[in-house]
Amino acid sequence: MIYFKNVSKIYPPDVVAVKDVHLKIEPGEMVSIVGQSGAGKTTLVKLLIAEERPSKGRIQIGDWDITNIKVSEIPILRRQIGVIFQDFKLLPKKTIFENVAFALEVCGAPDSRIKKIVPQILEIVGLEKKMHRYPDEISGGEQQRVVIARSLVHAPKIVIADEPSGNLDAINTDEIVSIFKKINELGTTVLLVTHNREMVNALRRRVVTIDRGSVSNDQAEGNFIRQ
Amino acid sequence: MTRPKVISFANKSFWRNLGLSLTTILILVLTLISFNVVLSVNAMTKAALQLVEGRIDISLLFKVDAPIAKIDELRAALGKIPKVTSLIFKSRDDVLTDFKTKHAKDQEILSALSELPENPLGAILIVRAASSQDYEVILSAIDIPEYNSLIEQKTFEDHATIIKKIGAMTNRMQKGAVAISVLLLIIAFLIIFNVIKVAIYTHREEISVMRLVGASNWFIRAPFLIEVILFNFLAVILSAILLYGFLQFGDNYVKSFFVGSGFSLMGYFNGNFVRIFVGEFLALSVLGVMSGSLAMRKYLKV
Repeated sequence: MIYFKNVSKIYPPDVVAVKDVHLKIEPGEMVSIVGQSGAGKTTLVKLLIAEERPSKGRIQIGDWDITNIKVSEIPILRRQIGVIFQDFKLLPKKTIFENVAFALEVCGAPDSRIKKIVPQILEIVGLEKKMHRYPDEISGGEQQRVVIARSLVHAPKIVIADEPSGNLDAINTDEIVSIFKKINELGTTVLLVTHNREMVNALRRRVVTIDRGSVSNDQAEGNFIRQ
Repeated sequence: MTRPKVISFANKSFWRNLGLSLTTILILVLTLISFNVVLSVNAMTKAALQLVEGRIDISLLFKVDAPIAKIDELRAALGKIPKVTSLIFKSRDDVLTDFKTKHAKDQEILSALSELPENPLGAILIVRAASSQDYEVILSAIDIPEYNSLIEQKTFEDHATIIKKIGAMTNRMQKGAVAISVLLLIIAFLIIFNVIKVAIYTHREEISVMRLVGASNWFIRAPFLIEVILFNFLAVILSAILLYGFLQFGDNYVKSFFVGSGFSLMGYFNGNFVRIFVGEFLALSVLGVMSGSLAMRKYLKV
């Protein structure tokens, strides 16, 4: 369970990015967080992966209160949350296999585990045949799938995708949505932070609307609501 | 399991930024060479002082009419002073023989000497001590009227001035060496600080992904620190190779200058090999870890 309890984030001197957000997301849920640019969606993601600390309120993941998480505990938290950013953050000099393996390598995983897990994950996202190519040798949609694969290598309990369809056309967006559905069906909590109306409406899952830092709407099975 | 990965990352980073790595090592080698030159000059100055000190003694020139019994009494008194390492006594006849040998080719002096009714030269007592500072103690011990009445001349005063001058010069050089060493350490600190900043900039994408996927702080920082330690290790090895290469040729000149004392720079560096080179490596590594941590603190905030 992800629990934001009256969370606010104020940047000095007085810029309110998130204001009194009260939000509960149950394990295994798939939730779209929508809102205009600057509404505070990405700040929520940053608070969840401890890149930012809340100014007020509490954040809890399961029984773990991460409001004042220690710096040494942040890596442990991030291994439990797979994050997918719009700008992919793929390393251009590494192959697809190496990019995915990198996430395991830097956490000290043995080579035998890396060789076993990475092909399995790449198979889930349909890239097992392109694992030796470099990022600039595959399409934008395929690059996004590599990022998804990378976020899954630690078998996270939560996957957060910040604008996952930002650089993709409609066909690729459909493919990505189906992958997220697949991930969610395996029991992983999925948070989609997006602008993409079609994507949200096609999912027919819970939609949380953020407006000027606050939750303005929370529908159990909703559509993208224009602000 | 993490340790080999960290070393592997450091190794990859070293080769990927080969130009930067080699430039850093080159600058560190130049810094170490400068430091070794300071050490060499310091060692040579100390050796020169020892050489001069080794050649110093007190010569007590006795009056011609000084009674031999009194001279023997003075010899016995000096023999009891612990700082005295040797006493060489030359009787009036020995002094005359030495004088004649020294001026064997100078007939004018020899004929003038033969015209004198008796030996005009007094006995000599040569006193040696371990250190130049001991002579002051020895001189003050025999500075009593009973002995002063026997002595025509004491020849220590001239040497004392030389010793004081060399001592002052050595002190100044040692202070200079410390100042240069501190300067070189500051340079090494700044080099490493900037190298890590550049390395972090080069790896900024990887670091961003590392943070994102949950790499520990240690895992992100350790490769940079290991890289710095690798730079230091290679720089110390290279500077030692260059130094010994130079000593193969240059040490002969140093030996010829210190002929008789047995001092050589090769001998100095061989004798202090572990202290100098391991010391340089450890000092650079401590400095590297400090400056590296400082550089990373700013750029690797979680």
